[in-house]
Amino acid sequence: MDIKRQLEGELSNQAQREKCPDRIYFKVRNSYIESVMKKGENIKMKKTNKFVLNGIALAVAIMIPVGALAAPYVIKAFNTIKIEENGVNMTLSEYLPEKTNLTDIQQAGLETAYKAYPELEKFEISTINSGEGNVDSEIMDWCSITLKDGNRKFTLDIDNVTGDFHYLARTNWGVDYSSLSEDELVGESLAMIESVYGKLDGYDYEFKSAYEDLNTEKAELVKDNDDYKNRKYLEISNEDEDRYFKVDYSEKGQLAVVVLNK
Amino acid sequence: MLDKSKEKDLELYKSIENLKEGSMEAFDFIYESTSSDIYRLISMIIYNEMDREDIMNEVYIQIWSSIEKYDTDKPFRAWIHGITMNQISSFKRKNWRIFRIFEKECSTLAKSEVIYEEDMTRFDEKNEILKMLDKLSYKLKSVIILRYYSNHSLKEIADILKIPLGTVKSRHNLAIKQLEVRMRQKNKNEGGFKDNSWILKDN
Repeated sequence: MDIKRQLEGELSNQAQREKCPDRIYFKVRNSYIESVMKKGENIKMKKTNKFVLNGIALAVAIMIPVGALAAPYVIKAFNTIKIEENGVNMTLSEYLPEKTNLTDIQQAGLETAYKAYPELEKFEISTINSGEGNVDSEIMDWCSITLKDGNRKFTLDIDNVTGDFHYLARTNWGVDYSSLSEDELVGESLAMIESVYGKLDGYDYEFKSAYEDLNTEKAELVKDNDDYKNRKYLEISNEDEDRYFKVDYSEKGQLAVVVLNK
Repeated sequence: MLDKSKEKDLELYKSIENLKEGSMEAFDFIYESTSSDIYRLISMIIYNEMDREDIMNEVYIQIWSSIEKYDTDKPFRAWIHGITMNQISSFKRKNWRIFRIFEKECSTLAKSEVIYEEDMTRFDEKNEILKMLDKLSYKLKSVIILRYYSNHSLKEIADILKIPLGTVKSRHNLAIKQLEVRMRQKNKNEGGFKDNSWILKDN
């Protein structure tokens, strides 16, 4: 056979065997979103999710913070996946990062954050993730919103039904928390919590061991991790109040407040 | 082929214009219309899957960042193939520099090309013509792939690779000649490539 015809035939056959992996779509899409957002253009992104990809599920799951998450019921998700493993049974959703993709309850939560920290109004929404389901025995119906301004970041997790905050974290706000004394840490933590909840009357604080709080199974997993065994957190509570706070300052440049109920 | 007609080209062009406004529908349309074709073109030259993904990403970034340079009188597919080939060349140059840094003992261009080509050999053992093609130098191979896989004319290939038409013609003729010689040689050698070092020397 003529060599040119052979080439045409065999190259075409070879090409048919090469399938473009689905994961590339998300990689390219993310680059696109980043580039558009970097341009700072006043854009209106809309998405029809034509690519429902099982293979992507794990990668997306890793990207979504554990403490995140809950789905607005009306607004269409950018991407939705299900995770069923290790005590987790959740539907995780990713939304395009703009205000119109927030429910009224989530918008109200964001407004509360703006009121507490007016400078946040200049920040851009960088991610909106949500999750509905169970983690261990806890029912989750949360939304996690992250705001960014250059290196500075603010994350808030909101209960989708009640609008309560579950988690607040600020990162790279010019304070090295690891270098602060315990008194200074308490001061920073109280200031952050009170900016959202108002004056905390009658609350006490205590530095506790994160390792000692673990159950036997989890403690066994990290028993050789000296870093974890020495890790502490700050608990701020009032025996007469249902709401209390755990402050995590173990991540570099980050002060994170977990809001809990007894 | 994906977008031979002018209407399709214009539809893609319009979508790319919308890309600049942040339209995810436009992005999906462009990606769905072109990704398979671009990926296959890359896979003809680049073996490693992760490298292919990186190149794909760079190609699309280039598409939406340089749409102003697209001449609507020319085929859209040829334009994106030009971007793709340019990204593949950039990748190969980068790879070669990395290779030179870490493999100083293989400091001659000829030696590094030999190793690069061996890395790229991956076609089906039974497919002799593609194995032969894989052994050609990158310059010759890219012309053959654009001509016989992507079905571009020699003039289009000249535009895509940004080289004179005469150079495309001479590379094309040389590539075909080398393939014919190798096929004849192979047919004489019973048992295939017991020693293929001769193939690597005459590129």
